[in-house]
Amino acid sequence: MNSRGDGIRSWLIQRISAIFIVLYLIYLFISISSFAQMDFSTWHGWVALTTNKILLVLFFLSLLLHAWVGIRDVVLDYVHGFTIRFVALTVIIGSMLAMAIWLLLIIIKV
Amino acid sequence: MQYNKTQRPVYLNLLQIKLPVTGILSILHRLTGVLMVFSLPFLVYLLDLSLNNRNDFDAVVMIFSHPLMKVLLGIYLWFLAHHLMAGIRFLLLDLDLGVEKDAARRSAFIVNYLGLILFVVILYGVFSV
Repeated sequence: MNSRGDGIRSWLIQRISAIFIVLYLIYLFISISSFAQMDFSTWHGWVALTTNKILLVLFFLSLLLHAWVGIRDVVLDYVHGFTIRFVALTVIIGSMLAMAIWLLLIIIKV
Repeated sequence: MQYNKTQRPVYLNLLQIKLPVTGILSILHRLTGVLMVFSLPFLVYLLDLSLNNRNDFDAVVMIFSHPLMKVLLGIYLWFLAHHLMAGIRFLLLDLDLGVEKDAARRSAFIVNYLGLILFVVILYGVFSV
């Protein structure tokens, strides 16, 4: 927490993202439950709908933000020493950016 | 302990400290969160695979038909359920609901044990699909 207001911002991000994640999971569960049958074309067709693509991207971004705020707190609490902390946080945020790009590539492909 | 200016005894033997039920909930919330973060790359990989073509989709279905994977999936859904319920409890605490010691202990107890009960239900569900 190096800037004023950073704490309250993280707190808000964590809660808003949590609510969106839950709403999306409920939507996903209801959608999959209503599939006539679980096969590739049904699943692919569902994901390929523009609305569902947008919601999936928003969901994944919420998930990454939620994960980042949470795991950053855990690292700051249990990992001591500047270098190891810096390396840990850099690896985590690098992996998260990579996964964000990966998800976008998947969406484009569908 | 140089920073312990008041000379009070510091007792931090983790094996002998009895963590209160709210503490158990809190540490489980963190643990499940961290484990789910580490699972993300695998989930994205499975999503990628499931959207490739018919064969890859069937491969994903095959992966989850293995009993060991079903147990793993059950444990994963248990973690998710516990994390979700503990998270809702934290949201209610933010709203000043159930902040008193007794109420907070009771809700933590409920979340932990409901998680265990749900785990059994989830395992049953996963194996009957």
